[in-house]
Amino acid sequence: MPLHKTTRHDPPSSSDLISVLASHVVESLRVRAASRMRFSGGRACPRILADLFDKVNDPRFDSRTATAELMERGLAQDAVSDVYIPAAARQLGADWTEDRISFAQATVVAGRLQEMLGWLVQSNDFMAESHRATPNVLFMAESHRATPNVLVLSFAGDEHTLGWKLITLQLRRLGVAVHAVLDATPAAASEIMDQNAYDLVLISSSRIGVLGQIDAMVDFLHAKMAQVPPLVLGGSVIDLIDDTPLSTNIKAVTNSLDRALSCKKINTSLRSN
Amino acid sequence: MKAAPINRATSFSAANLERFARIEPGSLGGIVAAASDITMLLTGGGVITALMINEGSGDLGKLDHWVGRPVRDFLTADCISKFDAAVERLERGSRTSRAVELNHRDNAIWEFPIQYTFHSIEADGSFLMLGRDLRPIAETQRQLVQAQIALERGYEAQREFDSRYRLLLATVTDAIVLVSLGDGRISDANDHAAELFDLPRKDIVGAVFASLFDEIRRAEMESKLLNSALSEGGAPIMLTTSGSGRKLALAPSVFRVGGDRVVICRLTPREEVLRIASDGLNSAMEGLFAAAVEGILFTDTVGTVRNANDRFMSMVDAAHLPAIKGRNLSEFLARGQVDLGVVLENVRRDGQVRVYTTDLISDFGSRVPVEASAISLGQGRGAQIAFIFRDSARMEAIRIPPMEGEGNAQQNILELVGSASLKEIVAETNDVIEKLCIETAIKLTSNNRVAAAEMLGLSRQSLYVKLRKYDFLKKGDEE
Repeated sequence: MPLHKTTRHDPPSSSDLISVLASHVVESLRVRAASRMRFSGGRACPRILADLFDKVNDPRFDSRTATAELMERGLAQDAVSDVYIPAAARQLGADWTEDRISFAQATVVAGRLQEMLGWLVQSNDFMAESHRATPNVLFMAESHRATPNVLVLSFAGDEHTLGWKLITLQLRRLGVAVHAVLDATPAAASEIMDQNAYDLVLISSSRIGVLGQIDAMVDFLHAKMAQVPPLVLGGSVIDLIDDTPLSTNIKAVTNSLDRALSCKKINTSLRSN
Repeated sequence: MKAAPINRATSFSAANLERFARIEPGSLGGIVAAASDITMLLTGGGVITALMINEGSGDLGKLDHWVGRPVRDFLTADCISKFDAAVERLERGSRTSRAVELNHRDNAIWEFPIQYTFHSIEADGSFLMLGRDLRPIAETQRQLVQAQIALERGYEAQREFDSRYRLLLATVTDAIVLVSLGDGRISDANDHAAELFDLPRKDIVGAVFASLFDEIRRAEMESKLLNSALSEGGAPIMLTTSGSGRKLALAPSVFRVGGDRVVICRLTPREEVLRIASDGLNSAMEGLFAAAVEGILFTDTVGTVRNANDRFMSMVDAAHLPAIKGRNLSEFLARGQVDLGVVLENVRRDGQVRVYTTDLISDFGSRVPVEASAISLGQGRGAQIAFIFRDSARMEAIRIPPMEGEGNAQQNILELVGSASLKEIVAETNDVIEKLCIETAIKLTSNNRVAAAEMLGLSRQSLYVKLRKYDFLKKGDEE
């Protein structure tokens, strides 16, 4: 098709129209591909997962580069944090159980995965999004009224804090006001809960010993407040407590964020709205 | 411990095995125990029949009570399945003796990790576990985890401060940009600032600040910002935005962050600046303060100097404001704390002092007679007192009585001389002056006898005598 010069008043040529159509198609395909990646039903691509696992085991590992490389492969930030990093952590646990790796190696690699989450925390920050998108004063007033106030707790002795970090990130992405506390003793945790009115307390743990710590914390709380906020236990500990009798203070044992949030204290002012 | 040949040491050649087979069975147990930190002999069912601990690992404690009991009783819950899997591999005759990491527990108080290799014994289903103590590695791991926890806490704390900072930027009504002087780029800005450039916030963050304005280069912008920030009370920088052509006034302040110099710059549209300036009062007041022929001084409520104009500094021979700022006004008053106390008390009670006569004294001893007025400004912590000092020597010069007045005084003296003796005239004059001074001191101090006595250089008792003499004491005043 011969090209000819167009002026501002000329009607668009057929080649121009085709170019526009082609660019629309290419853009649509790109968005759909990204969308497929993002909503793959929570399943990780085995090839990408294997690459990630190799990366985090590589002595030359760099968390920023590794995270950026996953994004460059078309993965959404949410997919990296919610699907690939947890899958790699599960693989790590399985490898230790099967004696394919030492616990020292497992600790180092788990730390690296957690470091990768750190890069995603910054870009997933809810406050940053709202700062750009909404009228600020309105946002603050609304958020103060509407968002649940959640304490995410990891007790002293829990050395695996990847789950704690992940749940914190996911909650913040949902717009929940999160106070994240690590390495807390039962007394310190009860003090924090006494000072702030939390709608929900999520406890992340990998040890069965956490049950004793929860009981001790609740004992402290009963001396201070009449009604303890709902407690939900999650993390790899739930695989260890099949037959263990649980305290009545624990409202749910789950690794599902939706299920955990459904346990939150109902805010009466919200209900009336 | 029964010494038996270890089966399937697959990495050894036949020749090597033959050589190892020459080792006396009696000494084999000791060799095995010395080669590992903990050595256990178990039945096929997993019951410990013999246990030896290397002398170098004595801090594992006494574990003799393990003998005769299942090893599973001394493993953590998550390691029992690992142990079972290792035994199963052994029973299946697996040729690989993979190291297995197991965590022991004893009385549920302490845990310790051991890396074991499993070896079957030829005689029956018994097997040998040779363990390497991993506690030194576990300690390193614990320290690593603690470092990571400390980092996470730091991130959380930083996030909290970051949130506060961003909320502050978002809620203030001023348009704010932060410019790094290292590269001249905007490191942060709020939405109000972005609106002034008609750009989204994300587009101005990272942009070279000078590039957002017409006809100014980066170096020139840096120099303007620095000069304006460092000059006290300097005029704002007026620039025109390159995109929207809007005229903006820039008021910069400079500070250091981690070695980088950062300018925090408040942007105000020109029309807003003009609106503020249109009433002209601020600039007029500034002009008056700078050029007044009276000394003007601002202090806090206890007389600590906050600001003074050039005239006041000239009256007390001060070279510049820092020489008097923070000092107490009483240091410059002739009667010191007495003068200041009288003025402050009246200001506190009535809100003002119309006229108060005293002398200003400089650090070099020179005195300037002044008439002072004072007024209270504001309330609470930020309350100030404004003083105006008029040079009364000049005032007296202006108030020279007319010649005919002088003539009248001369006439009065003529009438007085001869009507009484000199001694009587002097004594009477003395009484008149004394009465006038006491009356004035009483008025000045609002009838504060202690302050009045101090002002007159009298004892309190002498003052009372004179008050009684001149009939200034009211009934009931003398207790």
